[in-house]
Amino acid sequence: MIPQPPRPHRRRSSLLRALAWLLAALLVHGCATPPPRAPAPEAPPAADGGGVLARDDDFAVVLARPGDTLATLAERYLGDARRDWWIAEFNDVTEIRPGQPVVVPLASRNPIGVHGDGFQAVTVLCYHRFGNRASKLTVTPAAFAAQMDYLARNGYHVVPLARLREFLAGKEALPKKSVVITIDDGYRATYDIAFPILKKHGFPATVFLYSDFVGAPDALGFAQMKELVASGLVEIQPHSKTHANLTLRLPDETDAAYRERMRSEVDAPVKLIQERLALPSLAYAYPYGDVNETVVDLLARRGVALGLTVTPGGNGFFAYPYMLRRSMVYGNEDLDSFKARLVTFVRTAGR
Amino acid sequence: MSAPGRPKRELLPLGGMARSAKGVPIRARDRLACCGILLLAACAEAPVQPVQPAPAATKGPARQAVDAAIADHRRKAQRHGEAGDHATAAREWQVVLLLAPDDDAARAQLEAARNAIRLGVRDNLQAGNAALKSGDTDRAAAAMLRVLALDPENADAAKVLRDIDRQKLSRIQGSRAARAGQAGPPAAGRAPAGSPATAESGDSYDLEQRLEMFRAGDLAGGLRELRAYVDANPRNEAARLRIAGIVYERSQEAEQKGAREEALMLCEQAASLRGKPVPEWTARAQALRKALSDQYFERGVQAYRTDVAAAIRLLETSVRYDPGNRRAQAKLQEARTAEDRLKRIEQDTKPR
Repeated sequence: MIPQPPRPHRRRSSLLRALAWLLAALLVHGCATPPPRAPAPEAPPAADGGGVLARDDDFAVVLARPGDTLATLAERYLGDARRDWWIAEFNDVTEIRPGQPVVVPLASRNPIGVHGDGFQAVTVLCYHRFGNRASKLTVTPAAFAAQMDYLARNGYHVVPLARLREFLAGKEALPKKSVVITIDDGYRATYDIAFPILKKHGFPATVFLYSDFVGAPDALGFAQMKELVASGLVEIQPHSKTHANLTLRLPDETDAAYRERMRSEVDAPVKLIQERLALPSLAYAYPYGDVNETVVDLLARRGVALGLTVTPGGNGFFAYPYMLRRSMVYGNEDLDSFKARLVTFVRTAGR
Repeated sequence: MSAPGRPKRELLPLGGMARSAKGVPIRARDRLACCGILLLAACAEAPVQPVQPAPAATKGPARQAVDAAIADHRRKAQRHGEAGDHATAAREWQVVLLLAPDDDAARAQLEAARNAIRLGVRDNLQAGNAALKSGDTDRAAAAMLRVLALDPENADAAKVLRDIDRQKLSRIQGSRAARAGQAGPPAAGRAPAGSPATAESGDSYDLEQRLEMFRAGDLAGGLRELRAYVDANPRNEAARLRIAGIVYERSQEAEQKGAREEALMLCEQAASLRGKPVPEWTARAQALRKALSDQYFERGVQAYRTDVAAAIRLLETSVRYDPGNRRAQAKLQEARTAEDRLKRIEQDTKPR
């Protein structure tokens, strides 16, 4: 038998069969019900080892673990436990619980504290003397304790003056309701009465010393000043040499003589504080709160960055650093008056 | 039953030999191709099905917490956006997108918030600069605050606000300085006393501060500052009365402690600060002068026995306190004569 060559129609039929199988297979697959799947999450809640759910340049969202606090999260993600308030304010919480997603702002997005409805202001409180007999400038121990308790219980943050400088420079945000405590002149009662109360709350304060006062019966001595400074809570800063009003000229005083006298009013306390307490001078409180451009110029040349008046009110980020507002606390006023001086947010008119 | 003339189809058993309806065996090559096609089809991705949100009961606590957080930030974003606080709204949308990256609606909202920020910054900067040009610093400041609420890093707006605040505070300081110095010590360029600009300073803080200095023991500084206050407010009788009374009290305290010189100095300062003679104070000053004169006279007499020069100094002080003290005058004369005699003897005995 002679073998026959394959016929062309058989080859075509083979191809058609294969195509039919393919179509059938696709049909079967298409009709098949897909296997049931686990519900797909919108975004994986899977946290990494550090508890981070998601992160970009500005925020990390973390799942709080047992033992986490605002401070531990701040330490872990911001490198500074004292920035716990960044997290508290963004999440509008005062504490966190395990399993709670927490947003950690990785940078301060609004260090100047200006918002749509107003701006953050920092009140600088100004005390003078403390004693059992209240007067305008003498606050009793009980009144001072009540005022500090009020700050502590009502969410106020008492910050050192140095942080106000950073805030004014737009470099560092301050917590909402930030206040600064200052105590003028250098009365001994600062050590005897105010310091124990400040210590109890861990509140920092700045004492403004006029150098001619040192040695007077009711003045702080250097031993006490050193103890105050060593506590880490109190810093000593200049408040002139003689406590004269720096804007007033002496009779027939020439420009040059006046400038020279002002130089002494600036330099003497700065040098004394540097020599006896090894403290640099960052801020200067003007006697009676009065200042002019001559004094500002001398301070700037001396490297003193802040000047404090007694013009009442809170300081927005834009406050002129050499004429900062400061609110006097009077001994003959009640707690309500004290509360009224705490200007920490200034509402602006509607947009 | 099969239709005649039509090939019968079989399902392909994957193992044995299959045949066509006509009994023609299917070739192994074709079978392999079919198997491959079926295998490929089985492995292919199933068509994408829309994911139905799982019922809450089936979610773990972490998933539920994340969902709640997303919803919370979404609400905040919407609330802030509606209130016109686009900067805060944008931050909240950013967080929503971090947790739900596929949320296209949130992405659109974020973009809308960012656009609103851009427009708001532009419009408010224009308005602020226009207000500044027209001298309306309040309106300019308000506009610049709105710019910064949207864009906290806007350096132009920050500069305008800083300039405005500096001008404002400088004006306050200028008026304070003018008030403090109006009736003070005469100086070039100061308004003459009695002019309308010499209104009394009503700032009681200034006075209290000076009194505290004095009370705390800075007598020199306190008195200097109280004098400056009185000079600046010569018509403030109440203040003068108060200041003088406090200084006089301090004088009495000093006398009780035996510090007669300080007591006299303070008594005289009190009278001067009062500005009007007070007979009681004048009499007391006189008595203190006499007492001090007697005290120095006694010490001078004692010193005369051993140290004539010291005796002369003490007796001179005695006479200064009470020029009418005849005993002190006589003893001072005697001491000076003795000193002259001693000097002469000393010169005569010096080797030539």
